[in-house]
Amino acid sequence: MASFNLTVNGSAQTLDAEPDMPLLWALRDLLNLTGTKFGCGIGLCGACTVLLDGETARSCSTPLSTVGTRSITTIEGLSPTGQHAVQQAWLAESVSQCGYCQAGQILTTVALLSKAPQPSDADIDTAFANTLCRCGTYQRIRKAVHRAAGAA
Amino acid sequence: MRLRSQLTRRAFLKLTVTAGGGLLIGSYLAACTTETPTPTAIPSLPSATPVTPVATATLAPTATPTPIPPFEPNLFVRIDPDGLVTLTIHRSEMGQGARTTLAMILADELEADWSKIKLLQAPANSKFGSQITSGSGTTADNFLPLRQAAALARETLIAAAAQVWGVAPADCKAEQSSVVHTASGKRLGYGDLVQTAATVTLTGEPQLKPASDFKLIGKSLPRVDEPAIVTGAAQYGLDQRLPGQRFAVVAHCPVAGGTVVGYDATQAKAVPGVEAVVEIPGGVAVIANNTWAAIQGRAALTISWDEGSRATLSSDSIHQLLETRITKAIANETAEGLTTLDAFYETPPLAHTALEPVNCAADVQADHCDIWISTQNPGDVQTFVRNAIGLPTDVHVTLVGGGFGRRLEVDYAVEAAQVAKAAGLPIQLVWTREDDIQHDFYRQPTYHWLRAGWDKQTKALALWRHYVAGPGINGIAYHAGQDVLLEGLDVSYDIPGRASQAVITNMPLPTGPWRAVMNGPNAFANESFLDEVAAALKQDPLAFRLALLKDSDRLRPVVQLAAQKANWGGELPAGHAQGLACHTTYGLTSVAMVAEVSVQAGVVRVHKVVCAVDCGFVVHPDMVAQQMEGGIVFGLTALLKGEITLDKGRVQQSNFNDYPLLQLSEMPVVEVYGVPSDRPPQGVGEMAVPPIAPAVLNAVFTLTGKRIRRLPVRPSDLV
Repeated sequence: MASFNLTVNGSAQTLDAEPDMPLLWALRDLLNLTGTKFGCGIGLCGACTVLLDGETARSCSTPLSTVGTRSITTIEGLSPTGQHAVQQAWLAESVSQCGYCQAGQILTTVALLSKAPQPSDADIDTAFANTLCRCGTYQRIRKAVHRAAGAA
Repeated sequence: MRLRSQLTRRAFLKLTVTAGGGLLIGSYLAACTTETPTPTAIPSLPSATPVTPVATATLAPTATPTPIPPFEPNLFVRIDPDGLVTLTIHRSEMGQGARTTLAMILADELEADWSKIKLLQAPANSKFGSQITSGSGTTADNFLPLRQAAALARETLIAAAAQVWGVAPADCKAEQSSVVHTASGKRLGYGDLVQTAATVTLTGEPQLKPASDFKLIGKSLPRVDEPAIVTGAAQYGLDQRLPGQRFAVVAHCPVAGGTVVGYDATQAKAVPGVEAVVEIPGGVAVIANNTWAAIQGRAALTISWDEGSRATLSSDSIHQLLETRITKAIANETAEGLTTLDAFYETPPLAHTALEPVNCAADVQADHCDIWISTQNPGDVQTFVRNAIGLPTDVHVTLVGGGFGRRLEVDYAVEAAQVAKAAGLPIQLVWTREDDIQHDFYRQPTYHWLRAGWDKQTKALALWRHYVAGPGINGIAYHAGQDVLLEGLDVSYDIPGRASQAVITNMPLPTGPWRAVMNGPNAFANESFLDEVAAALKQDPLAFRLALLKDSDRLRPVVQLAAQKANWGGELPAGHAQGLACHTTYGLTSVAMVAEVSVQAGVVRVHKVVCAVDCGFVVHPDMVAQQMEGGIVFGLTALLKGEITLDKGRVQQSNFNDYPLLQLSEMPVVEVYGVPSDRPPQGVGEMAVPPIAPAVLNAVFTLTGKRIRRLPVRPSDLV
């Protein structure tokens, strides 16, 4: 058991947890932030994606002991009223079906656009590798990424 | 799928008309006691109103009585004195749009203001009729009954206003949650009419509005859950947090149905956060104050198992059994003097792998149990949990992170209740992805024989055979025999001398309903083989199909539309080819697809799919498009990606490393076109799955000359 000081969505949080606990479970079970989802546990589906200092990270495979002072952004940290440009693009393109994967898809988009403001389809293919959607919303995700890029 | 008896429209009407002699009048209010569980609030409004995220689920308290009771003419509609319209949704939302579509149907007929509506998710309650979300039936089954429920409420409110004003109801109309006296413009909001409405008894049946008056139905309104989804506020089963809740994972025997002989929990209990280890009928549960500790604790268990009788099951034994049965079944088939073509087709077991692994939260008290679950089947969950633990049980239905048929089953719900009871604590039962893949109820493996025969001289088709061998469905809540194998087995092509046979082949593999059920394998075989016949007769696949489709067959216009929109036979980029397939699922909805495909180094690349659909009247056009897109991706995964294999009774796959899904980079461009129809809504949720595999493989044949008769495609098939 160890104590961890985390910055989550701009707020300081102190947790007591095992150092090997993945950030995913700290968020969901200790901080009650359930917007970050569990899909596979081995970093191959992207449902657990968060941003660490703006970079995507698979929180299921990120032990607490490795987070350090990096700032954590979860889906709840974008805009509680859905005003972020990526969220707006998602609404405009009617992307979601069941929605379970979409937090990870949205954060992946936020990170991509911060690096590639006008991403090509090939950029999108690469950024979304192993970011799975069982409902098959991929075509709309792609359109929403382009839309959010256009709105910037 | 359509295995479970759902109330058909006709049966639903009969039920409500005979109850008390009127339509859904009074019976709910009279029976409403504190035992009726309160529906769960759906935490978003279908409007531009910003959504306040609800990060913590709370048990909905029983409503405090207000001085004026709300107007609740039936289970689906409630009007509060302040004018709030509350609609109750009695089927599960799993991405197919049930909440949005059913709310639209109710709100439109009710003449409610769509921007000021609250939605509730119905708990398990037999008074709702069937709450099973399956068979692509949600809109089709409920279109008429919900309109009647809403029309009853609307006409009662109109009659109430007429009474207040001393005018005839015919002189009034309803709009935007108000009643207006047409001549004078006087207006009363529904909230102001609640008290009077309770005293009104309608004579005669309410009239449904003409389709020309639809204001919501027929439009692609935004999905009601989308604001909560994009803000992370949406609550799935796995997100439920009951007061005092613990987290549990269960160690199951690697062979389905195996039982615990003995176990050592010493190491497991030493894991920080683990609080208890208990044995239940299906395995050993580790209970902890967080999910990670429970998972680590389970990994530290030592368990010896009695693997049971399924330990001999393997992919080889499955194949041998099915092949043997078919060989026997066709032993006496003759060619009848015709030129014949034979082929054998085969499909493996498949897992469902919704992105939300199955899970269930259970709170077992001394005299009662509460279940919170992402489910397609709250009624059976209630029944099986109640029987398992011997207590009255309420089932609260959450937003579902993908169903596809897996969430029709009750296994993990029973498990959760058993663990909660043994632990004496509320628990959230978590299945890891490994659990979810290895303890699924799989789509049945199949083995097919097809034969076509034609006159040597005239080439006229005179014989068509399709025999399929496979197990039935052998789950817990779900069982089916030969009937399920017959789904989509017979083609509707006008070929004389058609015969088909389902050879039910029992085997100790847990099987369950999987999106489109046997329509997938049967259409794969039928539509691929039809192309084989067309090729043998040197016919174009489109012309061949059109010549065989009767004028009255709904597939005709659907095939023609897909071919036209895809520019069938037109110029394509070098190395691309088109393939065509069509299928009518459950006799309801007809779909045709043209896939544009290339093959590079043995890898099939699907560039574009043009899809035409006749699904009857369309309530929400974009939901139809979404289900076609999603069904195509689902079917492409089955075509190109993983399969479930077994050895010594154990499923060999465990996660997305060895059971991959289609990725974003692999998704084709999908275009969806609708054939207008006078029929009522028929359903779309499963209907895009059957045609996609044969459409792609027919293109692969054109490109490579190679006929793929076994799924999934392997690169070695095409080099």
